[in-house]
Amino acid sequence: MSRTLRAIATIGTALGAALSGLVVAGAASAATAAEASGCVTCHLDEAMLVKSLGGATAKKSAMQSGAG
Amino acid sequence: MAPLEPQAKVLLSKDFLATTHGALACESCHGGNPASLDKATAHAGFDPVPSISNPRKACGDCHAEIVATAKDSLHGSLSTFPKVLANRANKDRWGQVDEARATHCAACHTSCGGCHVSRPRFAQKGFIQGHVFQKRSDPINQCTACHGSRVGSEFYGERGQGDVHAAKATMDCVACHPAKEMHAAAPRSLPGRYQLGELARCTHCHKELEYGSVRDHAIHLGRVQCQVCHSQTYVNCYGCHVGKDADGTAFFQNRRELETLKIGLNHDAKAPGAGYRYMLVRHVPSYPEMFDFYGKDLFTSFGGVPTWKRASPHNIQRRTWQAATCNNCHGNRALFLASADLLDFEKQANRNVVVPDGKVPKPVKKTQTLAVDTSRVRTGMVVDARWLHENLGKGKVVVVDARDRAAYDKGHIDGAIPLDPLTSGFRTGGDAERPFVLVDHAEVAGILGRAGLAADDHIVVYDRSGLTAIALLAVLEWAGATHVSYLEGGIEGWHAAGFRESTVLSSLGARAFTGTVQPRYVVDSGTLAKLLGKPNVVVLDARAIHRILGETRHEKASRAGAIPGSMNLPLGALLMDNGALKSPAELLWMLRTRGITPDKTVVTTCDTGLAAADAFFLLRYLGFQDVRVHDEAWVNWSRTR
Repeated sequence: MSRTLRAIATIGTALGAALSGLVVAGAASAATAAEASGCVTCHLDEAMLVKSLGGATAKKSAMQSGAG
Repeated sequence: MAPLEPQAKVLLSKDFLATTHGALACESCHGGNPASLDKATAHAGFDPVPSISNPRKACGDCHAEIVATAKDSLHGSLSTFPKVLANRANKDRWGQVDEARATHCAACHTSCGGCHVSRPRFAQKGFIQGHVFQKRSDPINQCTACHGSRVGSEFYGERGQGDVHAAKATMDCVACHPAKEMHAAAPRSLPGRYQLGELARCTHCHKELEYGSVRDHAIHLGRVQCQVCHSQTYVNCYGCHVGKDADGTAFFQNRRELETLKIGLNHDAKAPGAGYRYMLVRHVPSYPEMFDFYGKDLFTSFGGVPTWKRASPHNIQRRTWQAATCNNCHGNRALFLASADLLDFEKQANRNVVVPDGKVPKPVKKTQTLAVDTSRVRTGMVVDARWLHENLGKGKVVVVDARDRAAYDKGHIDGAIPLDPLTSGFRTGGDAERPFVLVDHAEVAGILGRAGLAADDHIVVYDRSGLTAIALLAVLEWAGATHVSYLEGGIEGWHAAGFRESTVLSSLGARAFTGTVQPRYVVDSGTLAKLLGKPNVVVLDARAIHRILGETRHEKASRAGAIPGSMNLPLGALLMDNGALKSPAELLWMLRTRGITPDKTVVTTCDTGLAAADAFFLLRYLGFQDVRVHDEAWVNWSRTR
C-alpha cells in the first residue's frame, strides 16, 4: 500500500471511530439508562414477578419432540 | 432442558444495569410504556423479541455491520428450508407447503437475542444472566438448547462417548463455529447449509494432514470425509409428524429414532471443501405425507432431494471402531448405505447416495488384527427378542417391564409384570438425608417378593431405553438373584422383531425372595476414597461430559464437578439409543483404548447411582471380574467431601 493510501486509510479509520462514538453517545442521550426506566421496578423484584406471573404456563405442545 | 420458572425468565440482574446495554432505556429496544406500573398498560406495544421482529432497529443502530449479514444468516432466516422443500413439493400447492414450513420448520429460527442474551424461543426463552449480554454464546443454555437432540447429545456424551473436542480440549460450540460463520449471510439460492462458504471445517484447525505422521491420512485425505473415520454412531430420524394440539399449539414429532453409522456416496462434491467420494449420511425425517395436516399430495416430487443426507456428527474420537483396523470398514457391506436400507418411497431420492456393491472398498489382504478377547463375556446376561419369544412361559423365565405404569398399560410383552425401579422404593428419595441410595436388603427383598419374584427365577427385564431396566438388573444382582438377563433393544426391539404386545395386566402371587445380599457389589464414599489412586483400580464416572466440565450439576448436588482421579466414560458409550447394544468385541476394544480392561477393579459412579448401576451391569456382562457401584454417587459425595 502506498504512503498516500495508508494515510487516507488512517484518516478514514479515525473518522469512522469518531462517528461511531457519536452514534453511541446519541443513542445513550436520546434514551435514558435502563435504571431510570419504570420497567426495572418490577423486573428486579423477584417476589413481585412471582405474584404477577403466577400460573403462567409454557405454550409448548406436550407432543413436541426435540430438534437438531 | 427444563424450562425456566416464569419469573426467572424475566428477572433482571443489577449487573445488567452497569453494562453498555444497561445504559439504554428498556423501551428503546422493547417499546412498551415505562411510565406505567400496571402490567397491562406497561406492556402495551411491548416487543419481547425485538431482534427477531426488527433486528435493524433493535441491534443495527450500534451493530450495523453485523446485523447487515446476520439477519440473513442460517440461524436468522433458515433460508435453505424453502429451497429443499420446493425441490420436493407439488408446485401447485406451494402455499400449503410454505404454511407448514413457516409453522413448524421455522420454529427453530432465532436471532441476536437468542444467542447473546436469552434462551432461544424454541427453548422457551428466559434470560440466562439477568439480561447481561454475552459476546460468546452459552453452549448449554443457548446452542444446545435448540441443537440438543442430535448435536448436544452427541457432543456431551448423552449418546456415545461424547466428542474429544469437549472432553479433552474443553472446547465449546463457538470454538469451531465463530461469529464469522454464525453471522454470515446465507442467500436463498443456497441449496443447503453445507454450501455456506464460511461453514466450519476440520481442516481450519487440522492443517496439512497429508504431511503428518499418520499414514491413513495420506491414504484417505480428499477421498473420505473426516467424519467417516472419526465419528461414532449417531441418531437418524424417521417420520416427522407435524400437527396442532387441540388448543392449536403447533408441534413436530419424530416417530422413530435409530442410532447407526452409514457411509454413502457424496452426490454433491461441489460443496466447499467437500470433494471427497465417501461421506457419512444421516436419515432425515421427511416422508411424502409429512405435511398432510395441511393438505394431501404436497410432495409429488419427493425424489428430488435425498433423505440420506451428508452428516457431520459432533461425536469425534481419534480412534473409532470402524477405523480400528482396515477391514472393519473395507469390505464391510453393512457399513455402506445399500438399497435394502431404503424405504420404498425414498429409492429414487437416494439413487446417487447408495453405495453399490462394486463401490464398497475391497478388503485389505495384509492388515493388523485387533485380538479382542471376548471369551469372558457372560453371554447369558443379555437375551434378544427372538430368544425371549421362544422361551416365554417356559421353565423359570419371568419377564419384568421396568417402564412406568402408563407405558406398561399402553402395551407390554405378554406375561410381563410391571415393576418400575424408580418408584418401587428400592432407593431413598431425593429429599432424604442420603438421597438416592439403596435401602436395606430386607426392604428390597420384600419389594421383589411382593412382585412375585424368586431369587432363582430367570428374570428377564426390559424397558424402552435400557436405563431403568439395567438399573433394576443391578439391584437384582445385589439382592441375590442368581439368573438375570437384559432384553437387548427393549420394547422397540420386540416390535422390530415383529412380535405383538398385550394390554392384559399380568401379576404373580407374592413369594419369598430369599436371595443372599452381595455387599461386594456396592461401595460407599469412604471406601471409594481409599481406592482412589490405587494401581489397577478405575473409578468410572458414567455422567455426561457437561457434568464433568462443571457446566451443569444435578439439582440435589451441592456443587458441580467430579470425583478427583475418576475417569469419565459417559454411559452412552456402553448403551445405545433404544436400549440396543454394540457387539462385545467393539465395547471391549473401546474400553481397552481407555485403559479399562477386565482384569481391573472398576468402581462406577454418576449423579444418583442409576447410570453407575447400568455401567456396573454392562461391565459384568462384558466379563469384568470385579465391578462395584458407588451407590452414594456425586450427589452425596459433593455434600460431604
